[in-house]
Amino acid sequence: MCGIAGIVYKDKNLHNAGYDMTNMLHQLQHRGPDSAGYAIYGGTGLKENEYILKIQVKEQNRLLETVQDAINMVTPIKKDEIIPSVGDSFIYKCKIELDEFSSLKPLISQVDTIDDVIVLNGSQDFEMVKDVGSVLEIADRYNVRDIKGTHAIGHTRFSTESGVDRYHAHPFQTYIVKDVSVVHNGQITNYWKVRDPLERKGHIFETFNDTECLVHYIADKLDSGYSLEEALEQSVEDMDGPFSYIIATPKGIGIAKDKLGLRPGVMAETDDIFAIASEEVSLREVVDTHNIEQISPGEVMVYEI
Amino acid sequence: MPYRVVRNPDLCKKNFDRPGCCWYLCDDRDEKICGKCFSCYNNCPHGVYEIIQGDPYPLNQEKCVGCRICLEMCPSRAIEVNAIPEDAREAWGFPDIVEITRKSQSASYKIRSTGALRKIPDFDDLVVIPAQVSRPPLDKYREPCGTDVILGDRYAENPLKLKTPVMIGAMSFGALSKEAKMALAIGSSLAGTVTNTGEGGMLPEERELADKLIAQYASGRFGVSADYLNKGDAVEIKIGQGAKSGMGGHLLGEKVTAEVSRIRRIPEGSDALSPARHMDIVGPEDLSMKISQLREITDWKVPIIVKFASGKVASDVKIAAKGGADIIVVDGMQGGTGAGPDVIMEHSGVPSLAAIVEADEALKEVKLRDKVSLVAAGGIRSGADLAKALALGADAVYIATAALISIGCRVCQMCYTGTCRKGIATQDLSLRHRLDYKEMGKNVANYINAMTDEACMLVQQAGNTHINKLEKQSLRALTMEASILTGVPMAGNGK
Amino acid sequence: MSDIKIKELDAASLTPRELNSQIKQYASSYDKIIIRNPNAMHYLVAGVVDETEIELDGSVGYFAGTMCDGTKIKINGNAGWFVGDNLTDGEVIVEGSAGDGAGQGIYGGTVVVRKSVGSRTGEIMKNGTIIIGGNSGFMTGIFMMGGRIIILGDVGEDLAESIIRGEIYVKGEISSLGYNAKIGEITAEDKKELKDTLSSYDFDLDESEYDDFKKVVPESKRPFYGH
Repeated sequence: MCGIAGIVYKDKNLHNAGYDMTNMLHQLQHRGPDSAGYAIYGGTGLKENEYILKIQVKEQNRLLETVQDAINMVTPIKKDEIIPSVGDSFIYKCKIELDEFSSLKPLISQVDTIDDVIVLNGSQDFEMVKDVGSVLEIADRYNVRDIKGTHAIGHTRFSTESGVDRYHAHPFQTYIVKDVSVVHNGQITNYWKVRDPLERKGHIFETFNDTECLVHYIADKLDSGYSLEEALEQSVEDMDGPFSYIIATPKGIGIAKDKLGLRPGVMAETDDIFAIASEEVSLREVVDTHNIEQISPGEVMVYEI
Repeated sequence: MPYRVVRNPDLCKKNFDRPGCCWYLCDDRDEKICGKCFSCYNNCPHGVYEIIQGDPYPLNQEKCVGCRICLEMCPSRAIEVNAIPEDAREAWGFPDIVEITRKSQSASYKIRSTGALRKIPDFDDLVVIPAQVSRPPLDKYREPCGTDVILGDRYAENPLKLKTPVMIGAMSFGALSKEAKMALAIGSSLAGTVTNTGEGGMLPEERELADKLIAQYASGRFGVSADYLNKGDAVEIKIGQGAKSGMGGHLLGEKVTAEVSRIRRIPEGSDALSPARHMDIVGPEDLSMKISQLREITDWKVPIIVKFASGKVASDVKIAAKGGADIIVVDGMQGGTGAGPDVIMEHSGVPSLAAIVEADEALKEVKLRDKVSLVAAGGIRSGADLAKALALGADAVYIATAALISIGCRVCQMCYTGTCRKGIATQDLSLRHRLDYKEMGKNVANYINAMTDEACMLVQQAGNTHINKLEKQSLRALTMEASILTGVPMAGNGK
Repeated sequence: MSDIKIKELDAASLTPRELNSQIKQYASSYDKIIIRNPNAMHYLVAGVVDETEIELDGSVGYFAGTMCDGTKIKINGNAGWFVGDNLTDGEVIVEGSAGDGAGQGIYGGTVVVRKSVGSRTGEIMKNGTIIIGGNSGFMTGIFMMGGRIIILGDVGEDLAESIIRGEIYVKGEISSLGYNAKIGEITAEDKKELKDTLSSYDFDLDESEYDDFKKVVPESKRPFYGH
């Protein structure tokens, strides 16, 4: 499924990542009409103990108060806003403080128990935007073009075997390791064989989407001491099926492609940026060069700043 | 295997006084030996007969598949083929033992033609319920029943307009003889429907004789060019076929004659390999891009069809629909083939009746049911199957094995050997001469017309005026399996 | 030369459908069509069957020049996946690099990529010629049923996987051969043919460099059943 893109600004400064990524994804719209999403890193301005939650709440009398109460019971809401969306729900965004990163997932699980409420993400170093509809609609809906960042990944989704909704849009993230997210093009055909051992280790899966499985897998490897590059290399051995995916951490991005090279990926580098995408048409939005490199079957690549 | 072949020696010798004794001309025609007839020996596709002291005997009974070609071609009507009851030894029945022995001697899996042959839930497990007074039945003899359908009018400028929803499915030139392709083309024109090139390129005679012809675009891309696609009245992207879902194809070099090689544009005598998947369709966005690519080549004129083997039906159908297909075909596990592994045919796939329902629901879910036409394929034999397939949600059906039977096929399951006794699945000129394509063309049309008529009867007695108006709610299931697979209530249990 | 009729089209203002239909419309009456701002669009120049010259002034997306017949296409940039797909005659020349499946399934004509390409170059090709100026990746020539691939750089693993007809010439390194592929004898005649072909597409090699070529051919014409 889908189109994927990633960009890293080499000088580590904040750039118009939201703007650039919107253009890149717009060019990949034909690869995925169902939904789109972003993870834009480095520009949230949050402190070490601060987190952002994005929660999908159904339009329903007093439901938002219930959500707010549930959060306030754990930690006081510092700041919040409501972002209108399509369908019968809206996005509630709020800022909270937590002493430990490990308290984040329990809080999210707690909020998730409320009917008609889904936590879309909780993060510190990146801004996650994902929704159903076209790239440009979503960019407008969330003012994505104004979001600054040091690096970003993005996705346009053509659903294969799981549902089309906001929650199943990419990126997917994990709460095992802080601020790791992934976008993915392809399928993991040994999904259950990868998922089962992770679940037995305590990873909690929220969907049946194979991309969610990927992010848990990588997080698990990072948590067990693998470097990002090693984790990606191991994933090429362990994952079956056609895929190419981009993983993002606060330090940068990495890409991996299956051994038969069944899903596309091209990259380009200039003095200022490193960019990666499903198709050249997307790279051309940010790179003015004909120097495009193909990512080879089984290749992994990490670009950290 | 569960057949008993008996040759009556007295009857056999009845007609030995004429030269060229066999009705079908003995393959070793030699007037010196024509005093003895070897039609059964020569025509049995499975080597059941052996010559013992100058006379043919059905010695290898365990090889018989019940095609009865020997019986049909015996000039003296001296042969009987009788079905005998299955050996009741459960897991270790005689057929299992024969097959294990065969594997242990040959070290190879079994290749054969046709599709799933074992009992699986099928259209016979459903009935159409007659209207009485809660709604009135219509009069078959005096009131009309519409059968015309339009398929693929979503984006195509020129959709397929057919007089009957019975279409002829893809079978390639190469697998089939030129005469068989011509007979199907003639039949489709006479019946006002459409036939399909299959994956072996377009035979000029076929284009000439068929009013409407679908150009198939399969993974091997044989004989494909802009000209080929633009000569078609629709383009069918074959992702898979019911008999061998997710398998490639392999036309043996022996069948690649000069003419086949010219049409397929490959060297004479070279094996024609089709990869298991399109090299450039690996995921959903690839299919969507493929549809766009073919539309650009054909200038948005003709419908783009996507044909699937039935597996993850709902996901596949949604992807094709969202990707812009005009028509989607779901080919159930009863669908046939010229050659494939027995294990895949019998143990992979979803029965046709379940696939239709799942596809119909999937199209409704993505709100494209009224835009995309749905074609059902796999094991359709009669007007009853047709009516039930349409009631379950299809807009039209493909027939293929059944169409071959109408031109003489006896389902001997040996198409791939290229020695078809009926001149259908062969490139051998002497065998091809056995097929009178003009006569057989009429047979195809007769068959399609009769089955359409049969379907109309069921439709009218259910109280509907058009073949596409029969509803799923007018069906009842006779078995639990069929009921669960289709969501059709059990007979006697409806509202 | 002044009577050459040239038509310019600007892709930036047209959808692929509009552009392709205009190309087909003008192809029969113009000698040359120049397409500005192709901007890596997909399916550009699809199914054109006139002997026109078409120049694309920039990079193109997937399936550029698909199913053309007799048309001479020049791309002044890179190409995406499957450039020159199913070509039946004519040529497609890419001045830059290309993605996977360059020259997939061609029946005739020539596909030239001056720089490197991705994987599976020339898959399921039946005839015609593919020339790659740089490297070519994994499973180059898979399911090849005829024709010729010439690679001036290196090739990746499993070269000529399941090849049954045709030949592949490689000037650089070969990582590994695929099933049914073997290194064959290269003759003086082969080298002469290589030279004729390469020089006609402006690849000027020193005489001695032709000795570097290795020729890969099918081991058996019937590798699967019956041998």
